[in-house]
Amino acid sequence: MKEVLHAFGLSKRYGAREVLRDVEISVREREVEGLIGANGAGKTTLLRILIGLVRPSAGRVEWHQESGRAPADRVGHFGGAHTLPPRVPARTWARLVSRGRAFCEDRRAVRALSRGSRQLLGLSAELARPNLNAIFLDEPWEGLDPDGSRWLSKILRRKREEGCALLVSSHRLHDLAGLCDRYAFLLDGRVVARAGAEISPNAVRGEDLLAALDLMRPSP
Amino acid sequence: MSRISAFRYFTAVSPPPATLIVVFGVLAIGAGALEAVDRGSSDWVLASIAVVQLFATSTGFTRHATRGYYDPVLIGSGRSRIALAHFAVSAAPGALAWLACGACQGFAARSPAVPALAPAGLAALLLVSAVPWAVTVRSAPFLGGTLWLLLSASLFAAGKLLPPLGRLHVQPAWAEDHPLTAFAVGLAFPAVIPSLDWPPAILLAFAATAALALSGGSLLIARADVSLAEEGA
Repeated sequence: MKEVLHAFGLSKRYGAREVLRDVEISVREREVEGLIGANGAGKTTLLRILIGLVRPSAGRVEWHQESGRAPADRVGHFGGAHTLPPRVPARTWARLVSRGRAFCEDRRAVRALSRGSRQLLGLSAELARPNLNAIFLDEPWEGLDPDGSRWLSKILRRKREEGCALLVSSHRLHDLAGLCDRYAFLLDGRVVARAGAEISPNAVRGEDLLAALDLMRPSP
Repeated sequence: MSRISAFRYFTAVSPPPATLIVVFGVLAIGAGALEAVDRGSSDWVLASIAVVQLFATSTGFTRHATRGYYDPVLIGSGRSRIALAHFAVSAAPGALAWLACGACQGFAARSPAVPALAPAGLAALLLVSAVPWAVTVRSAPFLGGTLWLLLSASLFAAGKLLPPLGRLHVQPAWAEDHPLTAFAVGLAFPAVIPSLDWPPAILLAFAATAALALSGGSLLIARADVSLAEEGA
């Protein structure tokens, strides 16, 4: 599959604290890359570096575009319900972000919505945008009920079939299982393991990730 | 075209506070009423708009950006374009009130040569819009306006502002002999700029200061690392 972006040697420091260390990752057309790691593993920082919102302390991100950077009109990103501006009416946000494609008649301010409704609003507005060729979602299942989760998985599969490249992060492997074509496991800012669609628990190191993998096992 | 208009985005997501818009509206209407009753009596309204504008443009950028509120408009966009749109949205209500006041003055005087629309008036508007905006890009809202007002009040209290202001009123040529002092007085209390006569070089210095502030603020936004607040904490 054709690469949309490739990042090499990414590191990020906030003062003395190193949140990413020498990360290499690529995102390809018609593929979903799953980024798995516990809270604080560096998933959000990595996503924001890839889309150009945060500058890496070292390393580089190569977008395979003429401009060499994330193309504004082709890249979708949603960082979670907490990144929606609280005072904007839901209807205005949906129309603004989706470029008039998402339908929402709720005139209440975003802050008046439940967490799950905010998450759905943000996701539906972003995913309704036309002509996306890369989508970056940070913990998109957070706060969604089972219906919302099913809707999200279904729309992400459809986006992949349409040719989109997707990078989706979660700290829960079961969110991503069955959806992703490739997985990268982040632990303390480093990619400690990679796996294909068929995850082998033996390929993973680190107690947190092994615990996460346990969630995939069917209940007795 | 599927790119979000940065101006439209900031208008929807972080418009200037409604109370300030109401104040600007009242001031503009007041200017019209004053000019209708007594031609040329609305100069103090310009000074009031200038003071309110110090706060209206002190909106702050980084505080909202590091919460992720500006993500959709920041991805892949030229940051200079974003900075200018943010500035334009912050400054628009005050600028509109200023121009409305100028229109009232011009209509009453049957001439466009009125304080609000003269070079000194426009330089003052640019100054009170750009400098607080730039100062506040990376700090808390209203900090730029508060600091400027505190500086003016301190200089007044220390007796440093009234004597040169008096000289500028009585003897406009004084500014040509003491350009640095005159420039400093204008900067310290920009509300008086429209009502005084200034040499072209000083007006140019006011405009250059505003342009420098605008460039500095844009540079701060261009180089900003938009980490979410909890990431960098």
